[in-house]
Formats: sequence, structure tokens, C-alpha cells
Amino acid sequence: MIVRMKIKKGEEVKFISQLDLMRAVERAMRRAELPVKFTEGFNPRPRISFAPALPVGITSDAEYMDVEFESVLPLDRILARLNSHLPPGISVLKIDTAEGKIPLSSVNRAVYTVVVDTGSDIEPELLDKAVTEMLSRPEITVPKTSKGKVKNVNIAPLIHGIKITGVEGSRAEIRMELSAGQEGNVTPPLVIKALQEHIPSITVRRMNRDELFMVREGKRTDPI
Amino acid sequence: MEIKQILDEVLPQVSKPTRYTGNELNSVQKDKSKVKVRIALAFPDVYEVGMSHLGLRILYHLLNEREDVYAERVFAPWVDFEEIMRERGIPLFSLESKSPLSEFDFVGFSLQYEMSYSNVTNMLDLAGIPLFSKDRTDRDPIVIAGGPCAYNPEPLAEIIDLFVIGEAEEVILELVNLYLDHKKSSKGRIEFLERAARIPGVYVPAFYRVNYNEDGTVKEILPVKPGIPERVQKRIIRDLDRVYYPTKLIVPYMDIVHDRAVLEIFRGCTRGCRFCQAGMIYRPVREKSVDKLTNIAREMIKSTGYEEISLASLSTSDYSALKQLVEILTDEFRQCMVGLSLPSLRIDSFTLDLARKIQEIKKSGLTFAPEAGTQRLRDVINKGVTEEDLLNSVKGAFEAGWNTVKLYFMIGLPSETYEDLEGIARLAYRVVDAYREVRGNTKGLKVTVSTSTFVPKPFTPFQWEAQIPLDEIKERQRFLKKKLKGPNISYNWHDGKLSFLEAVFSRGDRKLNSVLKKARERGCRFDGWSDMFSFDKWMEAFREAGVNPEFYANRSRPEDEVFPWEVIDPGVEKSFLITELKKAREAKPTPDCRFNRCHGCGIMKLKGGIICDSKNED
Ligand code: SF4
Repeated sequence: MIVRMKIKKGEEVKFISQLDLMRAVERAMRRAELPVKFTEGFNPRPRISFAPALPVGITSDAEYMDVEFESVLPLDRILARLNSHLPPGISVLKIDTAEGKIPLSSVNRAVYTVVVDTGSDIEPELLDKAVTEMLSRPEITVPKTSKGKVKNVNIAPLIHGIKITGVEGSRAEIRMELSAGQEGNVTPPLVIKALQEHIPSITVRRMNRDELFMVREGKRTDPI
Repeated sequence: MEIKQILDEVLPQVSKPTRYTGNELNSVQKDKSKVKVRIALAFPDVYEVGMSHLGLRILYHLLNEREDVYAERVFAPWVDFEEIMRERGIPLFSLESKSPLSEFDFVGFSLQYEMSYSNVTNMLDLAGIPLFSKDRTDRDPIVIAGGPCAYNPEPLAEIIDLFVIGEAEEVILELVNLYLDHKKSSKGRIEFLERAARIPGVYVPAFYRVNYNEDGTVKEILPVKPGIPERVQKRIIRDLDRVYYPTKLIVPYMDIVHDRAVLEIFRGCTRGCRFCQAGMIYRPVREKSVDKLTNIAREMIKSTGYEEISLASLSTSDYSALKQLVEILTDEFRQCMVGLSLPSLRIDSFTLDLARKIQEIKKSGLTFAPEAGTQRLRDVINKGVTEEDLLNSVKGAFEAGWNTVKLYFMIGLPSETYEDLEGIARLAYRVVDAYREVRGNTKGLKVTVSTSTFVPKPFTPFQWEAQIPLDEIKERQRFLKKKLKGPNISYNWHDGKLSFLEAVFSRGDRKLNSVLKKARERGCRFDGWSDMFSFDKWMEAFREAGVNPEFYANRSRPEDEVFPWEVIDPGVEKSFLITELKKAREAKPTPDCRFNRCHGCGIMKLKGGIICDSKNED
């Protein structure tokens, strides 16, 4: 039986890598005495697969994972047992069978909430203007480091919407819908880097991935 | 700004931020205002090294069992984070409550290897705690230290307020109780240290004066106050079945060096290798029972979910019920896919069978430690293994399908000649031959020869011997490099400069405290990490402090010399060590007292040793 889980990664664990998260879940399964299926062969590994990785430093309400079990178990029991054995900051939000669902590797879109600080009190109109200005540029190039090399990339086609959702003092809350996964991936720090060209003093305070899903021909499908 | 907030801002910029975040499963959260004693357990290396250390984990959970105590952890920040800490004025802080170290009642360092001393001094500096004991006030924490390096406390005698000698499970609680009692009075740290110095196993260097001879050697070490013991005898736990052992271990998120449930099966060793300090200072041999161990293992897996259990001891093969234990554990945990690993297993026909059963070693390859290349030299160091034993075991392993073999040797052992070095190469080639004999060719075979340089250690029969000079170390490594060339053989060696410094500090005296200060000022830290180690800075520090390092490393000592570490009594007697030294010089082995008579090493006086008891029944 393959089970799909939607997992929360909270403040306490926002710096752990995806591999760390996987290990933490694997160990929680053992503590919860849930019979995970292992791969055959010389170095057996638990059969767990993940949706595209989240960069460290970001909390998330939308991590997805498929786990294969040795036997058929009631879903609510898996949820309850696992949640009572997961370490602080990690919990299972939702659970369902993976059957008939989209493969996790096909998700390509994510929604984030980013809290920024501009150092001094924000005029909401100015912030709005800066965002609109940035989005109207034909190309938004930012330096991106991958494998130790810095490369300029155009992130404009990977941004699907940015909205200011709240302003208080020097802080603002921004909602971003961005490409994620193998087809193209951009994360909030890069978008903020681009925004710094318009508001140089802007810095990130908090980032959260709220949603992760697949968009095909304008149609949205959620993993669960 | 609170440390927690600053961390949020700066951690995204550092490598491996999880080193500094805490919050792991089974880490302990307490209200720091509701406890009476706060202890920072400090490990002078990065998180992934420190968290792999069993002693730290035992003490952490042991102390936190008490409601009135809060023990937290602190590790050496890696250099990238240190830079940010210094820039932003972040003091060294604990992982659990993110409190500055200066808030604690005690800061306790674990001293596992000499080359971490520069991290001790650097951590004190980052914590804003005065480096020298004499400069600390009642507002500063009491700085304590323990671990194998504490058996020669003198190089840190002016830095550490109080050393715990030997196994700490009981004495640490006695110290806490004393502290609680002392807090009721209005007296200060000196008075506390004076009372602490009366607890068996506690050494407070400030209460001892060292007088030197004209040639720079120690003349005498004298207590300066009445009631302070002349020598401090190490503490041991008599009954390992009754001592506290944690089962709700912290489970780290990040990959650490040894990330598994550790099951300590016994303490001590009777083999009596003459270079080995652990073999002398951890005597006598005491075991945990199979029943106890099975229960601990069960509990541990239940509360950690670890996928591997590892048996810990100085020499796993010596556990008297090893076969039974391995069978029970593999049966019990097969179902939930928990593996078993047996490090420090001596490979022979019996253990090979076990190894095959648990299949564990197959992944990592087989490891043998003949230590020396000829039978003569192995007799000198009392390493009771013959070339035939070794080749037979290797053959057995090849027959069973292994094809990776690691061979560990030491160079620069007392009396070593180039013939002995030749012997290392010869042995490696005989292993290749053995493979060819078994398999018909050498396809897939990998033999790795590793050499470290012999470092004479306090309380071993070789404590009187010299380390070979640095250029000689290099010369012998060059010799082996030339000899060990071949398609199936690779050779690697430890940096001789590091071994030289290790030799200085392992038999150093109080004059080295000022060298440590100068080295810290020059930025020495993480010396064990080759990209951080700067030999030149160390040499400048020695020059500036007016201390000659060769005096400590490269001088052989007369039998009647008084050693700086003799203020410590490890139980094993000096007379026994001298007898062993003389036998070494005649290349005469001393058989393991487990299978032979008692050799009267002196540890009997501490009681509780299972071998000692059985050998001395009448
Ligand atoms: S006292 Fe005797 S039996 Fe005990 S460890 Fe020493 S030599 Fe061995």
C-alpha cells in the first residue's frame, strides 16, 4: 500500500535538508512501529519518495511524500501514530492513498508567503509600484549560484504572480506563485534579490511554502 | 537583540546551519529559571564530531534526569560562523536555550584528543570567559574538564578550574550536590574549589605548586593547602549493570560521524599493548550483562528509531558473551530492519563467522591493525598477533567474498628500524598474494595501508620513550611511499607535524599553558582539520612563550624522572609500567592476563574488575 502524506516543516526544523527530513520521518516510522517496505538487495532503503526539494531556511505547509507499507493499514491510524512520534516542528497534515493521484515528480508550481522588512515604514502604494515595475520588465535577471558557479538567469517566465497581502510598520507580507520542480524552479530569495533593484533596503524575515501543485494547460491539480 | 533572532538572520549564510539550531528529538527543554544548577557540556569540535561522542551523551541525559539541573550542549562553531559571531558580537551560546555561556554555573569540556586544546581556548574566548583560572571572578562559570586527556591535566592546569579524573557518572553528581550546598553560603569560587578538591577523583590544579629542576624537568608537585590530596586517584564505576545509561538518546537531524544507537558493552582492556593509553587508564575490565544490554537496546530503538545499533568498547571481540549477544540482537531487530555493527572487532576465524552473519563489515571493508611490520617489533609493543594469524584471517575473509582490506600501522615505535618498515610493505604484499591464492587473480582487490606516527602517552610503558624527530618521520613516510606502490595497494599517512604537537601536549607540563594562549591569539583552532592546521603559527607561539617543544616530544626520560602527570593516580602502578618497559626492550611479550596469570598491574586496588577477581580468587 502506497500512502501520500502532506507534511508540515515548522520553524524548529526549517534549516534541515530534505535528506534530513526524510531520515527523521523514517525514524519516526520505526518508533511508531509502522511497517515501511524496504528495497531489496544489499543496502535496503525504505521506500519513500518526495516532492521537489525545498531550499533550507524556508518553513513549509506543503511537503509531500509517498511511503510504501508492507501491509494495508487504516489511514487514520497511520496519521495518528506518526504524529505522536514525529519530532517537534514536523507533522503530517493530511493523508490519503497515492493511488489515482498525480506522481509527485510532476508538481511544477508553488505558493509562498514571504515576510519582508524594508528598514523603515512602508508606504503600501510604493511597494505595490515597485512590484508592478519589476513584473513589467521583459527580463528579470538575477545572479544564481549553482554548483559553485554564478550564472545570470532570467526568472521572469517562472513568476506567476506576486501580491502584497499585508503591510504593518516596516514589514510587509507578500504572496508569490512561482515555478517549482524539474521544469523550472525559482524560490523567494531570488525574487527578493530582483526586488532589491527597486527597493534596495528590502530583506527577508520569514518564508513559508503554503502550497505545491501541478498546473497543466491552465488546470490545477493538487497532489492530495 | 536576542541570540535566537540574530540566528534567524545569519544562519542562512553559514554552512550546515543545523549545527547551531538544536531542537532535535529527545533534546531536553527546561525552563532555565526553574532549575538550580546550569551546566554547559562543551565539546571542542564541531557538532557532528561532538554528537558522535558517547560520553557527552551519557552525561547530558544523566544530568538532565535531575529536575534541579539543566545541562545543555555547546560545540565549537565552524570558522564561517565564528567570523559572523565575532563580527556581530554573538557570544558562544548553548544549543538548547541559546543562552550565552557566561550565564552558566559550570562549563565542562570533554578532552578527547590533545589537538582540540586550541578549540577549548578559542571557545572560552568566544564565550567571554577569562582564559586563565586566576582571572575568573565569582560571576564566571566554573570551568571543568574530563576525558582521557585529563590524565595529564598539566598543559591546561592554568586554564581549567577543576578536572574530573576517570569515569564521571558518580563524581559529576557529587559536584552538583556540593555546589547546591555551597550556594547556600555566601562564599565564593575559591572556597567552592577547595571543597571540591576533597571529592575523590577531583583535581584542582590551583592548589598544587610545581617545582622544577634546573634542567627544566619537574622536581615535585605539592599540594599548597592542608586537606588537599597529594595524588588524585581516578574514579571508576564498579557495577556497569547498575550505572545509569541513557536510552532516550538525542537523534540529530544532520548527518553526524557516528549516527546510531550506541550500546556500551564493557569498559577496560587487558591486552596490554604497550603504546596504548586507553588500555592502561580504563582498567579494570567490567562488563554489562547480556540481559541488561538487550533491554537497553530495545528501549533505545523504541525511543530513537535508529536503523543501526553499534556495540562500543575498546575491543569488541573480548566481550565474554559476544556470540550470544549478537544472536539475540540480530534476531530481535531483523524484523524492523535495524542493523548491527561491531567496530573494533579483531578479525579471526570466530569473529569472521559473526561478521559474516551480520554482513555489516562487507560494506566498509575489513580492518586489521597489526601496528608493526615484524614479529620482533610486535613483541616489543606487545601486540599479540602473528603474521600467520593475520594471513589466515585475511584468507578466510577473501574466501567469504570480501575484497577490501585496511591495514593500520604505526611508524616510529621504540627500536624501529628500516627492516621493520620493510616488514610493513612485505605484509601488504603477502595480503595481495593471499588474495591471488584464493581467487586466482587480483581483480577487485583493494589493500589500503595507513600509518600514524607513534606518540608516547602518559601512563603507558612507553611514557619514558622519545618520539622520533620530525624529519625522521618524513623520511620514514617517504621510504614507505616508495615501497608501497602497486595496482592494488594504496598508502596514506598522518601528518607528522600534527603527531609531533600531539606528543608535545600529551606529555607536557604547566609551561604549555602560555603556549596555548599565544596560539589562540594567532588564531590556531581546528588543528585536527588539515585545511585549518597551521604548524608555523604553533611554532611562533612556542618561540614567543620561550618553550622548546622538542624537550617534550623528542626526549627519552630516565626511569627516575618525576612526570608532570604523576599527580594523577590511574590505578596501574609505575612499577608495573617499568617492568613492561624493560620487557619491551628485550622484545618479550606479556600475555593477556585474561588467558594467563595476573601480572600485578596494580588496578586490583580499585576493585570491581571481572578478570582481576577471577585471577585472584584465592
Ligand atoms: S590486576 Fe592482574 S588481572 Fe587485573 S588487569 Fe591487572 S594484570 Fe590483569
